[in-house]
Amino acid sequence: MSWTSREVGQLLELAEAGLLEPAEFEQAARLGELKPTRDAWLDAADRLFVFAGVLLIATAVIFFFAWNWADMHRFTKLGVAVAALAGCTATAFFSRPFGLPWRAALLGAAVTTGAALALVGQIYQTGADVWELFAAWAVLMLPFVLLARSTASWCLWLVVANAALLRFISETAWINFVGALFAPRHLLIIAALNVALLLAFEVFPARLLEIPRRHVHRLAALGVIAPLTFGACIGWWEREFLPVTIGFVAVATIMAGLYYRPRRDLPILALAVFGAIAVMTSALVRVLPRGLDFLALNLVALFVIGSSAGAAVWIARLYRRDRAS
Amino acid sequence: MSATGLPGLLTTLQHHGVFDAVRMAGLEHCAPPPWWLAVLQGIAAWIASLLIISSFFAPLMLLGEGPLVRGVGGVVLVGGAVWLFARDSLFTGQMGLAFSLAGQALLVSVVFDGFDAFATRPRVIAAVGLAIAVGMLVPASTVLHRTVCALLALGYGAVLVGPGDALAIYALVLTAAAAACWLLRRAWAASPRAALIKALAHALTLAALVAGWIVAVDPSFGALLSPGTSTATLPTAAFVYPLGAGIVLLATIAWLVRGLPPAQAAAGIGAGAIYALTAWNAPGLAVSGALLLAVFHACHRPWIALTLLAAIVYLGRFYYSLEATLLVKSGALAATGLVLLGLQFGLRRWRRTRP
Repeated sequence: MSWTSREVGQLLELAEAGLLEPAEFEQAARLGELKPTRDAWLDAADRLFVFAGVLLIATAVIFFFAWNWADMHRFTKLGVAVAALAGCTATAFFSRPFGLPWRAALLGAAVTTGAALALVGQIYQTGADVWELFAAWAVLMLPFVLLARSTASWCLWLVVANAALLRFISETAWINFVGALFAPRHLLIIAALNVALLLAFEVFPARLLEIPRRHVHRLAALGVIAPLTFGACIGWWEREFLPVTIGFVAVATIMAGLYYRPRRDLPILALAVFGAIAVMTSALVRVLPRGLDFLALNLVALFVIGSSAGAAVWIARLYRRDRAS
Repeated sequence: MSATGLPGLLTTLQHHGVFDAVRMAGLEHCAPPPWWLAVLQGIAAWIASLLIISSFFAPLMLLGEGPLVRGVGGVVLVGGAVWLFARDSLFTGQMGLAFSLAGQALLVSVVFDGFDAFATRPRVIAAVGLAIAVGMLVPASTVLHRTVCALLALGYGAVLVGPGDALAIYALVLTAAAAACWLLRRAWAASPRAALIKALAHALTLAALVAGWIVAVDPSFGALLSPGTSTATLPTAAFVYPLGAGIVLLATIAWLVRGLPPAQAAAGIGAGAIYALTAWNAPGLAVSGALLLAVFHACHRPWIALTLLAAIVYLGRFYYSLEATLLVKSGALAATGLVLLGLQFGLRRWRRTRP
């Protein structure tokens, strides 16, 4: 028999943690070699070479335009950008739909779309704000992402869409990026965008992803929980953050209910639970009558330890039960 | 450790008589939590630890502010950390980590007064810090704590080495040591020192990747390790680091292909040599490549993902490198990308002709 790479990793970790006796470990090693098989190497190299190759060439295009070669005519530069984009789309066109080259080429097209937009802004000095560049990039790469239906492309799109929104609100805030996060309206907007994306992926998973993985769902859930938790923690101190606190309570309750049973997803459930612990800790600090003295600090610390330990034990138990079934 | 598929693995082991049902049930119960839960627990434990430490600092400051008080405070915190680590649970482990770091900082602060000492006596501070960090590796503790202590020791080591070519060579030694640790994982996994070696492997890998960003991208940053050195007088490490990175990559490949037929081994080494040459102006890619091969051989999934992520971060840092123009960097990246696509094309053709 031969072990898979995942099994080899698990066997080595069990041995390192002292959970497998040396004799048991050697017996397991006699059943199959404790290293990746030849096919595992070749499959990994196949995936890595194509994705890394496309990514490096797309990055090279961005670096090339940033060089801003004075002797090169602007039409030549645009030609290079269009050629890179055309190369990626042509590769996808002649590839088997949803195969590895297809997904890699469309990811490359999504990246080079951003490079082409940056080039247009550089040549014509459009005066556009950074958020407009990101927003245009998110819109224009969307067809490639919808065609690719890959986790990598969607993660890129999610990051660019959030970057556009964050840059937009930071340019409208009275004080830069960090200041923008101290406005309850902004936190609600960020959460709303990610709620919409999460809903889209929950309702239309098969249309958006060829391989049903949950990385994009979890990234979007993080985009929902993180700003709401942050705002809800402040909500105990500043009245104007009360809508964020209400929003957090509603979203965390729905998420806990939804991801506990009907659509079991323990990482998202854990995010909601630990977010709730953070908000309750903030509430505890707020209601303590004597401020943060020696006893109060230790009391809050004990609450954090007790509640998070309880949550972790519960979620770990669910995790093991799911794996065993 | 990811416990995905662990019950299946344990069942297979039981089926082949590696252990019985009772032992299997115990192992299922002992299986560590998933990494994302450990991260959330770790954050919670850190917050709790900071609160507890804060509660103790005010009474400590009331006793006076001097080397003796700082030293005693440091010893108490470090001793508390060792006691917490002996309790052997995630929370006490995380609290022990916070206590240990705070204690080490206080102990190092005994040998200097004020932040000016960082500029005037960096090597003395580094030597003391190195001794304390290495000392904290000895008592039984968590892998995370030992990894952080090893990282601190490697950082102090960089200060002692100083900037320039020496730092480049130091970074290469870290890379080679990290690759060696992972390539030999099978040999040390069941040894009594496995937990310590694993922590060292984690620290070496992270330090090698970060050192690559500093040495290959921003050599002037290295001057921060030796205040008072003019960046203009620093050796550039322009030749040493790319050459060394290529050698480490080729040595890693040579070790991996040593059992293959000569033609296949030569093809592997040749492909590595072409990759290292095209990435000459972006040596961080060769470093990432060597470490990726080593951690893949070790079947360590989190480091496989982190090494790839580090390569992407390197590209972001590489943009600001002053060692070459953007045009040269663009050419290097395009050439390396084309080499990888060519390798993929060749690999697919080769696989079609082979069973």
